[in-house]
Amino acid sequence: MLALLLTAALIFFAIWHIIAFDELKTDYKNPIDQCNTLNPLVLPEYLIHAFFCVMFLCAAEWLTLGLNMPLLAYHIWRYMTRPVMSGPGLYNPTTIMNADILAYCQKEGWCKLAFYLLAFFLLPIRHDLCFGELIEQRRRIGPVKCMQTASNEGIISSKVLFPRVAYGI
Amino acid sequence: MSAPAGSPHPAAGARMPPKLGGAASGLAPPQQNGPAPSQMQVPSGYGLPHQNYMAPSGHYSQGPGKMTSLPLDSQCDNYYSRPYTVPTQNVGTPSSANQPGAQQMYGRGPPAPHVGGSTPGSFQGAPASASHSYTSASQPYSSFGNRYSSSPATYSASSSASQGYPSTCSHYPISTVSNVVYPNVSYPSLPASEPYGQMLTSQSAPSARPLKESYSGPSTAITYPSRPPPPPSQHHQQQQQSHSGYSSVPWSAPGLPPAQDNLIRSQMGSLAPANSHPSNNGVDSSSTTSSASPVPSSYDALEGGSYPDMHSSSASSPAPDRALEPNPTVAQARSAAPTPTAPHPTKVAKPFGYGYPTLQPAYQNAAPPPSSGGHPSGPGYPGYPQHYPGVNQLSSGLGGLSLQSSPQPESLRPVNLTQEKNILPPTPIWAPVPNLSAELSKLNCSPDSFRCTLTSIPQTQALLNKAKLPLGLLLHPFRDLTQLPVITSNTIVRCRSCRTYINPFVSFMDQRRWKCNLCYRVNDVPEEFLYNPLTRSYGEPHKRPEVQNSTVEFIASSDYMLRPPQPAVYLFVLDVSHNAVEAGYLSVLCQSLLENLDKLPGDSRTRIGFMTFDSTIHFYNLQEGLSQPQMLIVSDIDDVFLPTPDSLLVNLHESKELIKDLLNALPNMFINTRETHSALGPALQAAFKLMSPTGGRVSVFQTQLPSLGAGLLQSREDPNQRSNTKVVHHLGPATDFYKKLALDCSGQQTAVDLFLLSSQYSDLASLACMSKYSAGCIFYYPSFHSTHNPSQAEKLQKDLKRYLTRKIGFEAVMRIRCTKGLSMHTFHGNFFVRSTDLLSLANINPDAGFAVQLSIEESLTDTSLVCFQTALLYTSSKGERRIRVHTLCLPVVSSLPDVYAGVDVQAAICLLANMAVDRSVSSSLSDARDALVNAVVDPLSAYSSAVSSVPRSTLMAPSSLKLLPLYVLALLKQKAFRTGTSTRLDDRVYAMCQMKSQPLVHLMKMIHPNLYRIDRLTDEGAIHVNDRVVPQPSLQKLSAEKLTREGAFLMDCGSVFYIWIGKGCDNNFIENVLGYPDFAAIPQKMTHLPELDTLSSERTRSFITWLRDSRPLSPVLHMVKDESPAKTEFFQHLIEDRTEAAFSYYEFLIHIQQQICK
Repeated sequence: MLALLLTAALIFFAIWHIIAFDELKTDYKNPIDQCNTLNPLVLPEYLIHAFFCVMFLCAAEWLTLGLNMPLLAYHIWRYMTRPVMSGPGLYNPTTIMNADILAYCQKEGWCKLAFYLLAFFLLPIRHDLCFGELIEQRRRIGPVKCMQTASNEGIISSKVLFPRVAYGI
Repeated sequence: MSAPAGSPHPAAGARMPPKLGGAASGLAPPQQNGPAPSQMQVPSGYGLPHQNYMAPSGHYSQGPGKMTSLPLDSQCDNYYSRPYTVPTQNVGTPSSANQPGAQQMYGRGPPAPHVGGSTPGSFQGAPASASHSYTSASQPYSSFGNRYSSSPATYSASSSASQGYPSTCSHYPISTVSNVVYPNVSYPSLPASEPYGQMLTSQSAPSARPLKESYSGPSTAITYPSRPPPPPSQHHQQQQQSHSGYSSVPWSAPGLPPAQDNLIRSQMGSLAPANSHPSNNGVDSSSTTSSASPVPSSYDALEGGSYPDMHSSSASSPAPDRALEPNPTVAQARSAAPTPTAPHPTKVAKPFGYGYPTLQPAYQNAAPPPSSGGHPSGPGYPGYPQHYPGVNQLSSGLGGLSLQSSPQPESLRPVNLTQEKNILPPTPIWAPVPNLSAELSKLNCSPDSFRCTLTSIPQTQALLNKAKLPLGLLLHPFRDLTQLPVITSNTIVRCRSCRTYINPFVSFMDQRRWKCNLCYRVNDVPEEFLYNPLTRSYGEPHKRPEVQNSTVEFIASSDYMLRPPQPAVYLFVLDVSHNAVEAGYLSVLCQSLLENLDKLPGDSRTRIGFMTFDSTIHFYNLQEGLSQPQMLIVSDIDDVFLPTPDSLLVNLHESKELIKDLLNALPNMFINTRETHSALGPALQAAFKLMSPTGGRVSVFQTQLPSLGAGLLQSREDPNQRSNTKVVHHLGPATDFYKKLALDCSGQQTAVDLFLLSSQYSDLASLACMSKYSAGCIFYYPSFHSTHNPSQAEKLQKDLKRYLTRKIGFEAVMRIRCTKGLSMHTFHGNFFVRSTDLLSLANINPDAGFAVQLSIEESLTDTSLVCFQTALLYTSSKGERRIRVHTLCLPVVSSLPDVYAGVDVQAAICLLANMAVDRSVSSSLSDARDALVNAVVDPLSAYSSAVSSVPRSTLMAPSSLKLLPLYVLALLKQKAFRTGTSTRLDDRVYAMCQMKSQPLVHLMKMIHPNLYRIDRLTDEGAIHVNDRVVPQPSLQKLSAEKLTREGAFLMDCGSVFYIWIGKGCDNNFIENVLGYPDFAAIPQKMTHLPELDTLSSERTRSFITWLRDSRPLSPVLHMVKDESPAKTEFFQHLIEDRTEAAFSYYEFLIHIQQQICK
């Protein structure tokens, strides 16, 4: 559940970025204000994603991790090459109105949105898979333990994220 | 009888109906014959033009589809992001009795209790913001409206009826006819001494807007207020009658008009005898956009060859025009030819390549092919001429018309670059003229203000990509102009959808509607606009100055301000650390200021302030009433505060004596200082606080690396890396402190100008940010010392003189609009980009240039012309809100060679320089250099593949591009981009800043200096300027092979002149011009030519003076003797020669050729 929430948050960030850049493009907002609102959001987004990756790593979800690694690398690269800034963030109000940069940022936003949406829908599927495994395991382990584990069912994320850790396979 | 919706003057309309009712029926019976239904088909507002618009009407129907999708008023002018904050003036400050001149140390703590030195009640220096407003702008006009009330009936009846708009009858703009003619009444605050050539002074209204050719003679003597109103109205009536007569009512055409025309002419003659513009013929001439078609043969013949005469004589053409009216073929010809602004049947889009034979004849007339003259068919390029059969045919067909004997065909002549020895023409290169009809070219914006890299815009992005040329605009919007029409108008006519200002390239559908040339929306012509105050005639919107000049200035109403216009405010922030005192700039500055104090642009509200800083910040209380200036020291640089917020910026006129005292004392005040630190950052923060209530200009003088407080910088330059060929680091800022500060300043309408006078590395890359983003300017004087380096001191002095006295605009914004389909991409210059097309400029100065990259978003197939418009809204130093509008019109072409034919290589180079600066900062210098080389390779290879007949082994270029490799090589050898040669980082960064902010004319001189031989100047080809004979020596190519030992050469690098004297130079020259007996006697450092009473001296001096006069910043002259150490300075500009690290021109060509063949 936590994972879904976090993914939802990521989707929200991506949408927020897209809207913000669109607003810039259509002259609704001053680039200084817009950058001031966007910049604090950049780092949380990256951290959440990094957190995911760490979790996948812990869970040895190699496939998912593999899918997420490029984005993580991109994030790291993006933050390394950010303009000289004293605060956190990426966006420089003096260059953001450059059509190239604006278009790039918008494209980036759409791509990320697509990625996060995919992740959002894939997570439950993976969860289902895990759940299926889980049921099989339960069958093997026995009904009592199965009941015990079922009580933990509420925290899906722990099972999604740590299926093997949880069941010691 | 009700006023139409959207009328700008409902009040006027409401006043009129009773008069109109009777008038319409009684006074103008013939006009009632112009029934509305027929007018629908043939708008009769214009005699001729209505036929113009008949033909394209089918194409207009394409327009609405687009137009409807445009949001109405989508670009309302939210020019300010911040509301105006009333200046906090009366901060209650206990007036502790401080001894004047006593230095007070302020420690940490709230400012208020510490405030001292100001006596109560002395706050009147605060900005008189409230007192300055334009609310009464329309008030003065009412009296004139009343003046007309005696005759409006006849007036309106005739006009409205003849136009076939009965519904508008009620709506005659009595109270709004006032605009331009009555400036004296309306704006008492109009400056009498603004540096415009033409001023809106009281009675000389017409002279205030000099139309290009017309109002030069007696017409300027017309002063409207002094004339009785009836004649004009009568005049109008007759005009209207006549034009209705031949507009759609056939019976009146043969008989009535000529007679009435005579009447008109006699009226005109009495009104404006010298007014020779064709449009003064009244209704019978067509609208401005179409009045002078480029001599179509058929048209010309039918017109009896009288067309050109229309420009010179108003009496010549009307009759033939009218006689031809009923002739449908003429109508067709006319309609097609002169309506280039409309999306027209004669598109350029047709895929005919060079041959235009199948185009409609009218089109051929409207936009003659670029190469109508014969072009050389060199034996080496057999296939080439075959591209132009149609053109040649056409040109022979057009032969005799002589209008297209322009150098255009020359621009496509293939040039073999490797074989052409003298690629540089002997005369200065002028901007290419866009391939437009004569009339449009005449109206077009001056290339000095507005230039495009491609004078023929490619139709699609694909075509542009194929041409591989940069597309962009080079702007010099606030240039000092000698002639500028200034328009005072209640309503500034703008497109309702895209907010474009009305300009010469709009098309008038009829008298009441005009079609925007940028978004193609059809707009109403406001009533006020129908009246032309210049000719005092009604119903001639196309003759208004706005529509006759592509560069105009409007006096803006209060709609264009979010706060009352600010006064001129100047703050000087001076470094007084040991380093600065040692350099001795203070005396130069104070002297300059003392001399120019009265010439500072401003009005009675002008305010000025001073701050100095070392490790502490010193403020100067100059409040009127003090016996001497009071110095207030704030040592708490971590939390800067203003000791007395209201007496630091004082009224220049009230406190003049104190200011002079301070300026006299300042150079010696810190003479014994031991303080070496510099707290620039905190000083700037304080300056920002001081300026934020009003906005204005902050001039910062800095001599070293800031070492204390916020914004402190470390040295980043490694002297050993100066000549590194690989990488140059630290071109970007080290901290964003200065950028943030600049953005804050920009938000408060404050610009920061930086004068960097340093002998060591001062990290200009970081410091420059304070000016870059606040629309300031940067001056850099490396190794400045007032005594050891007199030439720099002289340069500072001259620059300061210009800087202090030049025009200045405050709280400015600039919006650039372009025809739908084009979009702005990237901006270059010193400003902050507020939105996609809006630049926020806290200050604008006449020496600031801008560049814009463009891209073609939609195909331009349905238009044959594109237009660009920049509108610069600013507050003049007199506290007026003004809008300066430039409009540029360019043709659209569909074939690659046409694109190449229209290249403006100088503009392209300047745009490339800007792009390369961006690239070197964002990526790396070597990237930028590669990109520059590619910028030559790509178009040349695209050209040779487009012209497939050219053998691959030769390096061919169209004549228009032949200088591209030379200029790019010059760019690569600039301080900004050169590698391998030892270049100080600050010098490099400064050169980059210059490239970004200099206007084209100055930048070109910097990139490619002009070299003249001056030891044997003759009067051959000399020009006369102000009774002086100025010899015009030919340009030499920048190569040492041109330098003979027997000669003397002048190199004009824009900001500096070098005179190189050869060892074997004629002793006559040395004696007569330099005033020394022989070569050996010439001193090493010589910066002036003596005034000798010899012919050659006079010639040389008048030539140099002439060169100097052509630029704002007076350049310093350096005498360079052959074999003197200063020689390297001179020789680095000889860009065609080989250096250790860079190609010679020929090698560069070979290199390019290899790249192309790869």
